[in-house]
Amino acid sequence: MKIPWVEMARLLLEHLQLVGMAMLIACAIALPLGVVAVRSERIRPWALGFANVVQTIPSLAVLGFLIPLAYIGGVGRRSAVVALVLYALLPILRNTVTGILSVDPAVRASAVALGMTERQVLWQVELPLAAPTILSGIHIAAVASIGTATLAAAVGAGGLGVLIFRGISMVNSTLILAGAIPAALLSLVTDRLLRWIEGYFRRYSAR
Amino acid sequence: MIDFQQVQFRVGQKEILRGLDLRVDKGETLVLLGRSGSGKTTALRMVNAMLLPTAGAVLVEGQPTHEADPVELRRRIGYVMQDVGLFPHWTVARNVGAVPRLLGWPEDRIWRSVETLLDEVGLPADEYAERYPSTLSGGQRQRVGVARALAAETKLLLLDEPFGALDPITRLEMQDLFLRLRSRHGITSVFVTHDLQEAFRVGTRIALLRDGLLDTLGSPEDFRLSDTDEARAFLRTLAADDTPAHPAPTTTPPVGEDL
Repeated sequence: MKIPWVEMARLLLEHLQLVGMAMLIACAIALPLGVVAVRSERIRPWALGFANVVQTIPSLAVLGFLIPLAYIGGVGRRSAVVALVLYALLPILRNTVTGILSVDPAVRASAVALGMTERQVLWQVELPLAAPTILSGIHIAAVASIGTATLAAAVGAGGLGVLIFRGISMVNSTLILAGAIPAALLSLVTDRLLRWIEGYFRRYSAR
Repeated sequence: MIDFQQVQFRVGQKEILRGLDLRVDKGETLVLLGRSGSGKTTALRMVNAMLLPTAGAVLVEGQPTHEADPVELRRRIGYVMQDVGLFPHWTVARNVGAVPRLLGWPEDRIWRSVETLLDEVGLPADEYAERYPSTLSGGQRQRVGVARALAAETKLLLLDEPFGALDPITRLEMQDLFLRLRSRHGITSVFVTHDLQEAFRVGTRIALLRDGLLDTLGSPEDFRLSDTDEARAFLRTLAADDTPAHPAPTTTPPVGEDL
């Protein structure tokens, strides 16, 4: 059977868009929430608990739940992005909290004693020192999302899952592979890229 | 310059300071001496508003700390602590220039101050400015810590057991460095320690704290003559230091053990 190169390229791009959008939104939620959770002992267990619970629901079920919902759900891309965001929250949130909490208390104390404002302590000291840990959370979330996003096709959101689902229904392994191989390669490339960025930050902050 | 007025500090039911009255005059080094839990670090942290009194007031240059802007206050007051707390992701130069940069000094003025101070603490800028804290020894790190505390033309310095983690020889060198910098910059300081020998070396006056109260206050000479139980307990630590030179008769129980 002929390999559908053009469609593969288009779906790969769609796949990237789904994951990219989900990661941006997840970071926009989880990073500030992580900072708040570090500051407030009351919010921390709730935030982490919520993210943990979400993580335990099978992803196909989440997509199913989202279809009948207005605003955040429905058939199409929105449900898929929302589901991916929900899954990406936990690793990013958890690593943000861990990363900031593991900054040496003496370093934090000296930042305050020197006369940094709460905001300066965060931006100049805590976040740079927590960056490798936070990035590794984003890394885990991104690589996992690329796999999970193949299910997005189940709610009509496109992506490489389209080829896989079509391959399954037509009992055509070539089609399944045409979706699975690019998804796997995308994971590998993303993994490498983020590993490299993390290495850069680790060298810079862990001297 | 600093005035403790009936300062109390409690956390829950625990009273850490119970009405402390103390003055620090310009140019002096007041040593806060005491055992762990005596309240000496708490008292120190009241000066730069890291802690605020639950009753009474601490006045710095006439202004009560609870009315001051804590950030502005801290930028005027140098702080050196045992764990140093250098920023590991910043070079030595950037660490030393931290407060001047927070104050918005122009870059060339920051650099002049950094260069001068690094020279003064014995870490020439050409060699050390671009290094990272992890490449320095414990003593060198504390030298950077001292330089950082003074970089913004600081006249008031708080030191919290600054040399406690260093080996005895390095500690002695750092005490000498502190004395040199003190006279060169005309620094007023509050120096927390539990080491009486150090207190005698650096202190112009010694305030002995016990359970959140002032036990003894006076010059090192006064201190040697004071007869409170706590002061005598501390003086016995010096006697214990002498034992190798003058071996005690074997019948004498070891001194200091019953503290």
